[in-house]
Amino acid sequence: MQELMNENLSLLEEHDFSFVAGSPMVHHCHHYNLFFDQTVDDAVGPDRGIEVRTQAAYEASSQFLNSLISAIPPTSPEERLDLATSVFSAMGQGNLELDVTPDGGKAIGRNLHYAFAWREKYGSHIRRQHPADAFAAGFVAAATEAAFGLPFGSVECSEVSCMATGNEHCEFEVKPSGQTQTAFGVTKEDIIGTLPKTFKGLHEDHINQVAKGLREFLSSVRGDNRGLIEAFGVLVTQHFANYYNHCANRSLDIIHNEKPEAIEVARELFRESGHQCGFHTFGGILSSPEWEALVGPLTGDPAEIITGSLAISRALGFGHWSLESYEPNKSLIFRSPATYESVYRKASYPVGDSGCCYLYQGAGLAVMQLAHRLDWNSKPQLSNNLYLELRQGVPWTVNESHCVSKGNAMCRVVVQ
Amino acid sequence: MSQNEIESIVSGIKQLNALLVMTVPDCLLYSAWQRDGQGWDPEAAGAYLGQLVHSTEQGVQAVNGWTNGLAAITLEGEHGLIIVRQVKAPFAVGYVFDSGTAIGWARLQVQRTLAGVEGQIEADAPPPAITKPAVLAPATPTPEPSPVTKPATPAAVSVPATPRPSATPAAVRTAPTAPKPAAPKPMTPTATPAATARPAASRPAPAPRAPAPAPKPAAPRPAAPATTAPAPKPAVAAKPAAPKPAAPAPRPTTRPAVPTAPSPAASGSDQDATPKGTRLLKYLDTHAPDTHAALLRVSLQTGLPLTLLRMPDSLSDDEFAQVEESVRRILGVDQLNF
Repeated sequence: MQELMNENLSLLEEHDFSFVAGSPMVHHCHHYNLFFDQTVDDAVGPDRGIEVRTQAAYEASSQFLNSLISAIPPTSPEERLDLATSVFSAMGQGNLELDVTPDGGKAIGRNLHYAFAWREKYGSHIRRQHPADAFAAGFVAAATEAAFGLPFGSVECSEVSCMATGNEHCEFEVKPSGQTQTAFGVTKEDIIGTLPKTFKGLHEDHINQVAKGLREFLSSVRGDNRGLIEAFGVLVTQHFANYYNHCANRSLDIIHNEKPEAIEVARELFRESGHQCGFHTFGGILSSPEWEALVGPLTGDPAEIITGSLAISRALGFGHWSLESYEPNKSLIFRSPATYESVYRKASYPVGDSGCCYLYQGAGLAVMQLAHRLDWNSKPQLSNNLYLELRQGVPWTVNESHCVSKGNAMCRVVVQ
Repeated sequence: MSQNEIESIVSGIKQLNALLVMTVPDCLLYSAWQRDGQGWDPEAAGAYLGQLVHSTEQGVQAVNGWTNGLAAITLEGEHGLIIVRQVKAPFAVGYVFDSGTAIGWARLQVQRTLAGVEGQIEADAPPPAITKPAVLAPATPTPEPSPVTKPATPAAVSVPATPRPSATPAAVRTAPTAPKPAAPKPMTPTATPAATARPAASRPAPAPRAPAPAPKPAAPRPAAPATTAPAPKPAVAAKPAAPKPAAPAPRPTTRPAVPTAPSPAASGSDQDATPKGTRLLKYLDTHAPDTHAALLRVSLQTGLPLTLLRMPDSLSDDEFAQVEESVRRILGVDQLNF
């Protein structure tokens, strides 16, 4: 299955965006995924949050699956269902068993990324009262329609039992639906139409070389027999950029309309998701044996952490993050012709008045933290406890001074 | 400490039905592993067993403080065998064995695995909120636990059976062990002296916490050492209030890996005097995952501004109810004991 994904993989190399079957793809860890989804639910309420996330997953998955299916020779519905579940596992999203017809049916999820990761990270501390796998629910609905060639919106899917709420596995119900839906998602063509000219930053050759090696390594990473990808000390997913962008923008739209006084808090929490990503994923990769094999052992030099993190961000499909300037302990400035967040916003919304790259902002701050507040020579364990320690009393702030979604020629993040 | 981590330590013990890690005196479940098919609620069981440990501590102190050892309690009943061991503060570990398990064999299993469980707890301490590093707040040192007044003496003590009304009457035995002082553990990131620019009172001072389940211990607790008033909590990721140093450096991170238990004096009547708004947010700060973001989450869920939430005792009844509901939602519980 990974071979099929790789066959349909394409790159906008000068912008460091990755696509599979025309859908923009990124890699994200479970820390980011859980906090991100949690923020959507906090913003709009748990029931509505599930709706927003399921719809986002449905749209992104429909676009992807239909495009992937059309790229291969004709197949039967059963083969298409197999294809969908295999892709789902290869992406590190867990294992799905689909028992569906054009009239609906059910699905079983085992070790689904969100439920498994939630249970692993939070399950022994708190209880969860709502199911965690809206992404899988949207994917199942999309897979059912794509397999049987149904019109968009023919079926809907909801999670009726979840491992994260204490059940042995996850169960989904698929029912006919009269709702008209779309398979909206920003495509490679849409993105090409929005992109400003690319540019280079400091240490460009080194960053580019490492990013290439890492991208090659990531293309060989696939889900294990549980359908999960355990790597770099985190659970990794290959994911649709459209899922994140649908979720973040729609929940911010709701907040903007219904409780605008809370919008800055919502942005701060999306930024925090990015900070978790930067710490856990960038940090995990930097301290991994794979990194040592690819780049060499870390010396702990902050510049090495910063350039390494930029290479990682490119390999993960976040965009052409480049180094504009860096002053030890004082400031760090990234710029990018665009990010996967801003190209979506630019393609889907009118020009705004504030930056929309929350992952970029949060991860930028996290890179500053990784570069200055960790003693890499002591080979630190990047645990949640260490994260909480570092998160208190951060001596820098971050802001996005420029963003293509507000009409600028680049996305620029300043940490100082 | 995840369920999977506990499982890796104890799943080979076939007669073991569950393992619970509780905090004392909060009596809150910190972590749990339960074999499939168990019909009871680990959170409720953890609360009762935590209360049992706390009551045992209170009881032995009431008997002239003849022991300050860590509680070791065995409950024998028709339906099973429960062994509770107090470990490094503030934790206690409960092993729930199947009925018919030989007590000696069960104790052997506990003896074999407890160090592993304790090691996992130490490696994965709860979100730090009970104490703060002395280096950051030299003016408000964390109160030390009461010193040992008498050597530990092995003894058998009868205490009331499990507090759950429907439980089978049980025999309880305690076997005090040597006390283990909770020593602060340095964090991995090294600190530099320049990092002391962070305001010492930027987080609220540790507030007392009440035991979760009733009844309260009858025996009065020793008088409190000096307590500190809670200070306003700053925004997460906000700039430090103090002037920014020219070259910011890592702040010291010498917080103890495992929070020490709150001073016995910091509860009881003192607890009741704390305004409920402060108590509620302190409870959240102590128990929420990702504690640094907890207040932001409350703000986003309720729509109440952070400036108001930082003055929780000025909340109106309606606002307080919203915050309480938000805290319940964040912790995933139906009821709060704060």
